[in-house]
Amino acid sequence: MIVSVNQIEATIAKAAWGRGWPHGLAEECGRAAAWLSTRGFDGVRTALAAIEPGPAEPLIDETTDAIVFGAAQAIHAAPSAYDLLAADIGLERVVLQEIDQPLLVIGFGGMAALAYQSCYRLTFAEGCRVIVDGSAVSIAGTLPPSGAEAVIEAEGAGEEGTPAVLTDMEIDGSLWHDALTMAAESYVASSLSSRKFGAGAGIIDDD
Amino acid sequence: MAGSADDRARRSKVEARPPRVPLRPPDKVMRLSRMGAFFPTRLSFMRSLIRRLHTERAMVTRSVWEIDDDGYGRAVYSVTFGGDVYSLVAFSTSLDPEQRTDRVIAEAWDTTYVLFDGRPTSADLDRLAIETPRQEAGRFSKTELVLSRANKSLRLFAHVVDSLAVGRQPDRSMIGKIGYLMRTTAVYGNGKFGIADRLRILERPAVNGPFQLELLTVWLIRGFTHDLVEHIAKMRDPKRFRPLASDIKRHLGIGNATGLGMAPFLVNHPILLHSWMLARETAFARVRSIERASPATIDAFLVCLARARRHIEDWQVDDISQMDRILTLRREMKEIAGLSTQAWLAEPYLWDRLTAASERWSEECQELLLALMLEPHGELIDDLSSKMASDVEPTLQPSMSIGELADLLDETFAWAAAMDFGETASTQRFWYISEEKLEPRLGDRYREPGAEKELPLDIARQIQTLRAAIDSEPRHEIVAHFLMRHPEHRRIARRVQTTASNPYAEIRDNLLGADCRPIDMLRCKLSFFGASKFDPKSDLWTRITLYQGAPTFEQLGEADADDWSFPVLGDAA
Repeated sequence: MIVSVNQIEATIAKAAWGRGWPHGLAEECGRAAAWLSTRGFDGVRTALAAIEPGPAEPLIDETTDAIVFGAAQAIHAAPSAYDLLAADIGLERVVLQEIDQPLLVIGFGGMAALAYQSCYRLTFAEGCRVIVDGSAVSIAGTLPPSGAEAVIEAEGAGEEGTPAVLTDMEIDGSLWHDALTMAAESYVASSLSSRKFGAGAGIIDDD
Repeated sequence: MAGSADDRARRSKVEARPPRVPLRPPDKVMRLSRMGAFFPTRLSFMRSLIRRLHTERAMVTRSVWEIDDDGYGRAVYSVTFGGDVYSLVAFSTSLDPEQRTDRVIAEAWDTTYVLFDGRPTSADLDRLAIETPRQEAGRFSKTELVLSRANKSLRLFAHVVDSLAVGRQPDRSMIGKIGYLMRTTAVYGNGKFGIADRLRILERPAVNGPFQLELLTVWLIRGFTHDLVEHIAKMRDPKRFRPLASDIKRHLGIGNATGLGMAPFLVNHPILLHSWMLARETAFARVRSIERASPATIDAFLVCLARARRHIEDWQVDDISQMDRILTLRREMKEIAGLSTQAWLAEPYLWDRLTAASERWSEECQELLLALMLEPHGELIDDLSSKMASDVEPTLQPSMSIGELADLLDETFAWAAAMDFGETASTQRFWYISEEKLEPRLGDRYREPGAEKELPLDIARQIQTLRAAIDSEPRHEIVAHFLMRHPEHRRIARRVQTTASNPYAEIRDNLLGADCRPIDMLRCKLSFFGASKFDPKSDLWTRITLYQGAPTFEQLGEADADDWSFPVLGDAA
């Protein structure tokens, strides 16, 4: 089925929030999924996979020139990594170990590149190298599966980029159903009382 | 209203420099009681849309009219605007009275619509005939820009048909009291339910302002309701049928029923809200800065004032609280008229003095006066219409130190710190999305389940929580580092960093309090649309009238196409 950018952003954000991720990260996860989707990647699937287990206590190790996220959950670790590199505090790299969803780290990179007008290089331990700016991404090699380790570095000022590239985003129907089901976890069950009083209007309008 | 060359020169002089009078402070403007007293102005989005349609000499054509004698079928209207063609595709069907509801929970409607990008083919129409009546459950594509539906006003629609069918005009008092043949119950844009994203029209200046396509859709729907009621009446008795008198037709706007969905929008788009407010307040300051009001603008103001008095006299609602406010407003408008003597009007800084004088009256009256003062000053303020769009998203400033963030919160967000959330009543309510067709609802935190899933509209409370959290952090620490450990504050940190330089971005009231009136937010937003005749059905729900007095399709090219503020229906000629 065809879905819009707005639908992806909103649905993924609600799914993440419904699974217990903080609102700020949930919103950015939605944008990262949309960024990937509008560039031909399966942003919805990778986002749902990252969202599904909910947030865990982060494992963070800090040294003088690097910060290392252990058992890195992309939804939390990736935005923090790009923030830290953008903060221009002399930090050379951020290491994400055992990344749950490597593709989503790239999606967050696209959003960070847009926000900070920067460009990022991701080097995976398995040899894959990725350059991402606000507009596009180039991948040399095969993107590794879950459990990979990546080093993220700032690659200098990026181009201004484009917020999204319009495409017909064909989404597998059952996958979208999963997304809607997970998003529904952020809704409150309806009751007779809430139906009657929660919206401040009657049920029938016959005038 | 153009005024003389001297007037224009004087206005240009004023415009060229910053207003002498400062903008009203956000502590005064961004309060719910005042926002809930707003009236539409000439900067409202419907007004600016109609002005541009008029300037472009846009023509609406009806290319399809496949409507049966009972008024059921489909129709297509097309308009070329900004070099692009937009088509309203309308479907009219029979509706079981049991299913007639204005709420989002509805499953069927009298009429349903899409705004199509271009001219639909027969195949498009056949596809849309299946999908459009399903609304949220339908499947749409990027050629559909807006999705909407409307139900008949049972009070008026049948009466108008009955009247026209026997060669009579409908009762003018009923037209004045109700003001529309149908009420829209939702108007969706920007990618909702699979329709086109806003990105599709970002490079189209004619329609990329706030809600321009949605409001174009509503204007076209209004024209369809006029045609539909005349068609049914004519089919009933072609010999005796008479069309609607042009002044009645012009006074028939389109109704709208609006609930809580509008309120979170204002909170979730703080930079956009700031843009709207800033334009409005800048316009007001420009007008108040005029030293010598020209006779032409004074005359135009007095004409508007007189018309507004009649408009307010026509404004009747069942809601006791709003009716009290209207009665007060009527009394105060008499005082304004009494104040407006020739000597008083001739003194310098008329508009600023009038503003100062209005401080003794209700906020409803003060905001009405603002709208009236803006009305004759189009040349001075209409440029601000183009500054009311914003696609800026809040962005984190990761290198800001915790000390700087603390100072920012203490200095710029003191209003939030001052709120007391200690009492039960101060957090009585919570906003949420119901699983039932995703209807936005408001619950009682202490009596109903679901508060753990509340929408994050409690901006002031979040600011307080953030301030407390950074209190124990080293001042030299950076925000990026703090958020790495405390991602729960990411959203509010990003927001305050962005909105600190946008003073009209935040509503400076407690949206969780037992005494919060969400309807104030609805009225604020709807006034920016250009809505009038606010008719509250509760603190959470209102009906309004859109495009009342606006030119019809046929009248768009006429000279008075922009002269429809505070419309009144005169006596029969």
